[in-house]
Amino acid sequence: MSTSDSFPQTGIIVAGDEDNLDNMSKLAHAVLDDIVYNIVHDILLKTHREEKMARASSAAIVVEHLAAQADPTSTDDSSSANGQAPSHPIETSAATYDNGKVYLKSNPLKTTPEIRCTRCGLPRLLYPTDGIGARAPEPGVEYCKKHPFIDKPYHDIYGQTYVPLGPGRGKKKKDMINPLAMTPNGSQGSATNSPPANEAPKPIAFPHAKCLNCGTFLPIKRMSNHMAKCIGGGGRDSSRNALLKIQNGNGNGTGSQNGTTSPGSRQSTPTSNRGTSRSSPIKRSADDDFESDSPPQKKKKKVIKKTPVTKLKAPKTSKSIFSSQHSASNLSFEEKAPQSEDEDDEDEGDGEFSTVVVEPKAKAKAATKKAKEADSKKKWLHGKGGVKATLPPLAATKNGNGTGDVDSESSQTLSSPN
Amino acid sequence: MDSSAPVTPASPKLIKVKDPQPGVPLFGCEHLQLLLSSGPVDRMRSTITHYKNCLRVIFDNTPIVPQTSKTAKNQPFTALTPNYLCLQCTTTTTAQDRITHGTETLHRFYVESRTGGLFCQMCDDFVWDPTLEELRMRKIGTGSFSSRKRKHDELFTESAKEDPRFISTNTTEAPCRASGLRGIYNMGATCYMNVILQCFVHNPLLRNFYLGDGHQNSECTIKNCMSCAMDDMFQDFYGQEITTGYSAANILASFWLSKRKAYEELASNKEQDAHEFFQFLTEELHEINGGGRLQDTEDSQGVKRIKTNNESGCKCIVHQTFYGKSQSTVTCQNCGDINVSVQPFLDLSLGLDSISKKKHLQSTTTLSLQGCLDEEYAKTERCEYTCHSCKTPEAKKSLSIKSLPNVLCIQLKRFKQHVGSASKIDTKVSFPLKLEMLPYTNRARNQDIRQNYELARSCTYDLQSVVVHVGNLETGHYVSYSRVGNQWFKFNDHNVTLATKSQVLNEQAFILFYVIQSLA
Repeated sequence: MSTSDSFPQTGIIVAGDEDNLDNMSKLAHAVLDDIVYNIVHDILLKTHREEKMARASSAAIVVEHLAAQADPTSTDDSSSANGQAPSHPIETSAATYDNGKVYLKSNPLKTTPEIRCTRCGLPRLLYPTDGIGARAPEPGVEYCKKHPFIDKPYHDIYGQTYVPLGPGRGKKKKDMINPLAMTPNGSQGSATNSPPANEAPKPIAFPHAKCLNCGTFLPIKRMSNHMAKCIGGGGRDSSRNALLKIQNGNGNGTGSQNGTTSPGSRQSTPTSNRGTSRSSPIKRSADDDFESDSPPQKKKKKVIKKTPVTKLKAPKTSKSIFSSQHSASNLSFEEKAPQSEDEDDEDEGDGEFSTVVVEPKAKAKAATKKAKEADSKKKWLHGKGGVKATLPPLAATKNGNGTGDVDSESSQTLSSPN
Repeated sequence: MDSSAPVTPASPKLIKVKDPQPGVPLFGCEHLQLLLSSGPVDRMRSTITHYKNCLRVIFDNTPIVPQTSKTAKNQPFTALTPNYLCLQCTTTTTAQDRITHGTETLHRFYVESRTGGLFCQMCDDFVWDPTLEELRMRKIGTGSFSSRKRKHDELFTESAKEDPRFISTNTTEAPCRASGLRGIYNMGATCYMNVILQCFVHNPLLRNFYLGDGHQNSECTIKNCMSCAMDDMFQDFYGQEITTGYSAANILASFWLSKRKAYEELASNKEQDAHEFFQFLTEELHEINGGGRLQDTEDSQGVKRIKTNNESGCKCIVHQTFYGKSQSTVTCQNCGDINVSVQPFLDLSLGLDSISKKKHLQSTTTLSLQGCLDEEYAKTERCEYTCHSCKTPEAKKSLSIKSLPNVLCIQLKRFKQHVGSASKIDTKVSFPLKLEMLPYTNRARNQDIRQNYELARSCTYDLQSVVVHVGNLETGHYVSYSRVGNQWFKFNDHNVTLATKSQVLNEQAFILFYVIQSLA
């Protein structure tokens, strides 16, 4: 082979000692060299293609934009590209616009330094604002909102921080690795209205989400657990609830004769139920405290306020049962009691309760309180539908009998000034 | 695409320069513009035709042809490094001789012999012309210049052929920041769901289906419809500028409310198997979108789910995306009687345990994905089968793939059942970024595959998503990786971070999603 026909020396890999190699080693070296050359060539070509096409279209966007400005009749890009274009060609250093067509001038890699977004036409930010390879963007330039992704430890691609969960499920402070300890410039991108750079960026918050089944808003982390109860019918108390249902069902089956005697005993069961379930909501609200601040407040109040009502109601309802001799409805009351206690905010109660709480304490809330009690009664007597009938006597008993309970007394004192 | 096609300027028969589009220059460079626009129309046509021929030479034949040039003494000269095919004559030159050829003949444009890229000698640079580049991409993707070869291809090209004004009036443009890259919050051990949802979000077919209003939320009558929940998710991912995580509460609720018998176990607040959720989700979406479920579910709870008997004939998005067909051939060793059965498959499950046993390997040895596929779909094995005609209990069974899906899902079974106890197999399986599936198809058996480059290219898959399980059988965590363009991202619940290819390839994969190359 003549010299002119020799293989090109790609020279990517340098063999250690070229002279002492035997033929096989030389061949292996040459082949390897070429293959590495090809790999580099392909990667480079791919990047080149992306970059050059982006620059070429940027050049086109700029000149189209100019053309649209020069000709007020064509307002948007599509119309300027299709017809009523300016009579004379418009030129930039990179491209020519003529009658809806764009022609490039020389190499866009040289003529066009910026890359513009094909959608919004604004220049793209070429370097990430934070993390590896970060560069401060030029101030006062409006960039396309699509930013380069950020590569930084403990930050996601948008520069938001997250607290990695430690060994103990990350609930306690000591379990968390605090990435925010080292905070250079948080976010100083084109979004100029972002908080000052030295302010520690907030970790991604956990939102609340709505349960599709019951419509409750819950912290997202507890969604699956909630659905286990709400949809799946599983959960910790499911077997207890089922047992209660079965027992009540039997009581129902034995007939109304038994039913006349049972109210007393039934009365005891709800109250005992009340006792147990009272502890559980408190537990739950404590649980809630953990995740969010405002809702548990409501719930606590709710629980406290409900207790006198139910206690007061106990004899009342038994009377009403005597009058209506519908034991089934009473039964439904019983089995409802713990359930509604558990998920009262999931029923109609949520809205009303929140309004109650929102009202300042200084305003004595006798009216709202009453309304609320009516609400809760409505809930208790739900199955029966005889809300109106039972309401007045209940209110009366509350006024008369309520002295025993401290909580209701206080509410009374509050109500009196009004 | 109808019978009146010749009238429309976009008819594939007519060779012409692409119509001008806003934001795209008409030609790759000013020199190419001279070649294609000035002078007789024939020159433009012949240039484009010749470029097509060059691409055919490069992609449809053995690479030796374009890699071989002729020396000054007319001897063939084959190189590994790129050669250049002249666009204006039939010469192939090396990189060095290209300039000499140019000065001799005044030919300025060359096609690079490995990728088909166009080189302009006057720019001294590669040039990406919209018209020619489209031809090249199509050639690489589907193996032909016409856009009609694959049905799904219409999804992409059809819209481009339409009037841009029509598109702009009938679509809502997504904001620039909406990239589809968001985390999904963990709702309490729901990472098994999150990884599958991320893989679905980054599945190009499903994305186009949902963003193209494939399932319209407003017109859906199904209560707690999973497809509606998916639609919501896709709209949120690609249509919103939100960068924080997504709450997939509706999907979880739809999942729980669907109350499928086979997946009742899954619907609990425990850690679950991602693959089972994948199966659930595909079945559910198939029934909703494939019409397997009656629309008026109100009064027909009992007959709500009617299995479509001809599953293979289903045209729903799930079948179009994931389903392929495998063919098992049982050959009697005595009489040679062949029994063929074809079965649709949703995914390919590779039992790592059995493969290791077959290969007599230690459990610590690294397997390769191709090796596993070889074992399952290329080799024949003895099976227990009694021939119908001669009652010989000796038979050989071979499994192969009859038709490949658009998105190939491969599950590596990492959980093995021992007597009484289950354990996780930690065998490392290496998997490629590009997967050649041709050797495992039944076409591979019939013909000499080494010669058919076009066929091989149509059976090439690109890695799209990887699901990884970390931890042991009792408790663990799922993370997933997905590719957007050339960039890989790691999805760990609501955290999205950049990932490198090597990071992805070194993971202990559990489920792999490969997308056929023409789509990726």
